[in-house]
Amino acid sequence: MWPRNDVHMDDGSMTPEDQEPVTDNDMEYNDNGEESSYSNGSSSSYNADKLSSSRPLQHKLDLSASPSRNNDLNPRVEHLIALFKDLSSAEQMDAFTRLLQESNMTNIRQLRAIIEPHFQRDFLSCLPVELGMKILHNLTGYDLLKVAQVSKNWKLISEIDKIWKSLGVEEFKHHPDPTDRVTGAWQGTAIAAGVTIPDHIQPCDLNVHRFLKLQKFGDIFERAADKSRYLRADKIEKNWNANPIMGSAVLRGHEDHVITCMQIHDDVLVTGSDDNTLKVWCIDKGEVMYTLVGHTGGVWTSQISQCGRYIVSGSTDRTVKVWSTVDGSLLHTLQGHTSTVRCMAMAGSILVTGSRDTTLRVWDVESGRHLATLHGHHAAVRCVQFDGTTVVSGGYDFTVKIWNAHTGRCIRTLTGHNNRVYSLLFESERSIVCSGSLDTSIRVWDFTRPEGQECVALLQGHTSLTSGMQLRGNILVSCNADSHVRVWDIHEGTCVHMLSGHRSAITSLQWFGRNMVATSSDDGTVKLWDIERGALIRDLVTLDSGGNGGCIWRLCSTSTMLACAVGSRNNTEETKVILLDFDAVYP
Amino acid sequence: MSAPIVDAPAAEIVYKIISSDGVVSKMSEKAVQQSKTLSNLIENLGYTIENIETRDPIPVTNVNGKTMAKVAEWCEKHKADAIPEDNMNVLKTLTIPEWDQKFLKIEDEALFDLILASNFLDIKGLMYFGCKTVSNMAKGKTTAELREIFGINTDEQDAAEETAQRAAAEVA
Repeated sequence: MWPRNDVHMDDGSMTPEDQEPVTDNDMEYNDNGEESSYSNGSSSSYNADKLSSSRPLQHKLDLSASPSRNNDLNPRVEHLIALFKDLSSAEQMDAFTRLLQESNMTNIRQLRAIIEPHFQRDFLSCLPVELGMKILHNLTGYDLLKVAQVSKNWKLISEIDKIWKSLGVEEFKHHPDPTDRVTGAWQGTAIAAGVTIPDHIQPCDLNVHRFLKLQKFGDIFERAADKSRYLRADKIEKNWNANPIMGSAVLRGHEDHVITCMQIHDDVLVTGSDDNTLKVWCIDKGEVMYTLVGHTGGVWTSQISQCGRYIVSGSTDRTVKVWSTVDGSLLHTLQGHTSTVRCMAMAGSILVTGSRDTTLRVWDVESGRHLATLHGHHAAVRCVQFDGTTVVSGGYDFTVKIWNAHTGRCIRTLTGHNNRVYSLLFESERSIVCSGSLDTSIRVWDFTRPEGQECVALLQGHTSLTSGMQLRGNILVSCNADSHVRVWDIHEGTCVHMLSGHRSAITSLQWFGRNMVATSSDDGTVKLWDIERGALIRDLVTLDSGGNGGCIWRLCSTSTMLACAVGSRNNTEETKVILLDFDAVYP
Repeated sequence: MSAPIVDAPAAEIVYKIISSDGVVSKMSEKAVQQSKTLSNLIENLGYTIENIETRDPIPVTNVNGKTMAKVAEWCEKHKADAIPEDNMNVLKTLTIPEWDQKFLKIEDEALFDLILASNFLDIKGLMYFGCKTVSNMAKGKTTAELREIFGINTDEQDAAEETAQRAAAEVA
């Protein structure tokens, strides 16, 4: 269009040229006439007639045309179009082909821009909405975000809640509502002399961020709540993976003692210590709510019930105590064990405790009643798992035992380890048990198999004690005192990745998100790994005293928060819990 | 339907369907069953094996002949298939068979008309394949690529064009 306008302007501005174009047109017309007679010899009389009738018409136009019409129309182009209309379809195609050969690339590109829309359809805007929804239903959340940027119509359709709701569990991960985390210990940060949090936001940016944190439900949430949920989940994932850490806190307590156990339930964090106490903290407010006093020996194991109403603790004083989370009061003292209570597991209100006295005991924490005693191990019970019916225990006698909790009967004894069993996993639905041992190996068992054939995989490669494991599907992640994290395929019995970076024993592991694992270590660091790629994502916490006694004993996490129990065995690092915030608001 | 003649196999009914532009397409009885709308139309208008030969073609006024021919071709190919469940989750796990991929490799305009027709005629299988085909065109693309694939201006381009048209109207 533009080049044509240009030609028009030239034409209109030069009066003397008005006559010359007429002459040129006449000449060109004659040429075309000649061509026509060549290609349509059989109809020459018709062409002759056309020629005679067109000529006077053109002449008339030339004589009567006003100056403005002259500006609008290029006579030569009009002649060409008139001729083109007279051609047959095949002749038109031939003309097109030859015209293209005579055209420059600029014009050809413009021609493509004109032609292409004829072959395209804006499906989403033109189809009924329910069909548009079916089209979008197949896309990922990421694709939907791109779709929303294409046009207003696409944005409107892409934000229909039903489409976002239909995303799979993997994409539409649900998080509790956004948290405050600006009061109490959160008013400061965990950054201090001797503590480095490599990607922490600068202190001068904190106030703005804290203000924004309180705007919990944004514009997108108001018009497309489920898209907003998706975006928040995506932001939280990025907060873990890459974004600056936007908040942290230090919970100080259990001075000069070791934090031996740590649990989280919703907003409640419970830490147990060899100072004989447990502390109950409110995470969001960043403050301690209660100190649970009553044990006369160090606390070595604790649990929070699934309903969140009870805290249970086991101690070197041989007792198990049941506390209320509502007010921190002691509800029951469960006596019967004759040595340190070393491990415990809960399902509903039923508790199973394992002890150095070689027994396990089953209790009802609501009533405080003792239900059963499980005899059979020949040495201390070190770890236990429980699904409400079946108890799985590992001990210093090198065995793993399967029990019926109600009858107290040992169903199966799994032998094969040649040193103490230190860690256990039990996946009830598949009857799978994973056990980690000081013999350096991890064994995977299926106890529904015939006796003596239960071991389905022997995972070797670690060189020390396995301190923690987590299993999802066929992927097992283990952390070990040898300073390595290993990722295994339990179906194949192979090691998929070995993750190196820690400089001494790994103490704890947390797996969250799809492929993120955090580990804590005696070397005073917390590291975040991508277990799909087998790579370090980043360091989350680094103690200057690492290597000189400062260590991270334990990790706990929610989907938006990581708690790190920090301390040392030689008083080089004060005992505390460092909290890192990875939450986000609804945009 | 009447009982088949004992000594001879039952002849399959072939329906004639006349489109909005007067073009007549043919579909077998089995093929027609893929379309709930056509099945209902045939039943409600009383077409039977006895009278099918003497009656006018079945009128479908919302679909043109070219599109109806494609619909008929698809239904004949899939006449033995079960009709998919009316469930959004079906779409997620659906894979388009090779024959259908080729069948649906057509210009956007034709694909658009085909999807509309499958909606009007309630042919779930064809609708799902059509929608899935468009989804696959959109999957994994950047916003700029989406605009190019589907021929969509940015809102700024549309606004600029509107401004230009308004200016031109004022001049005229």
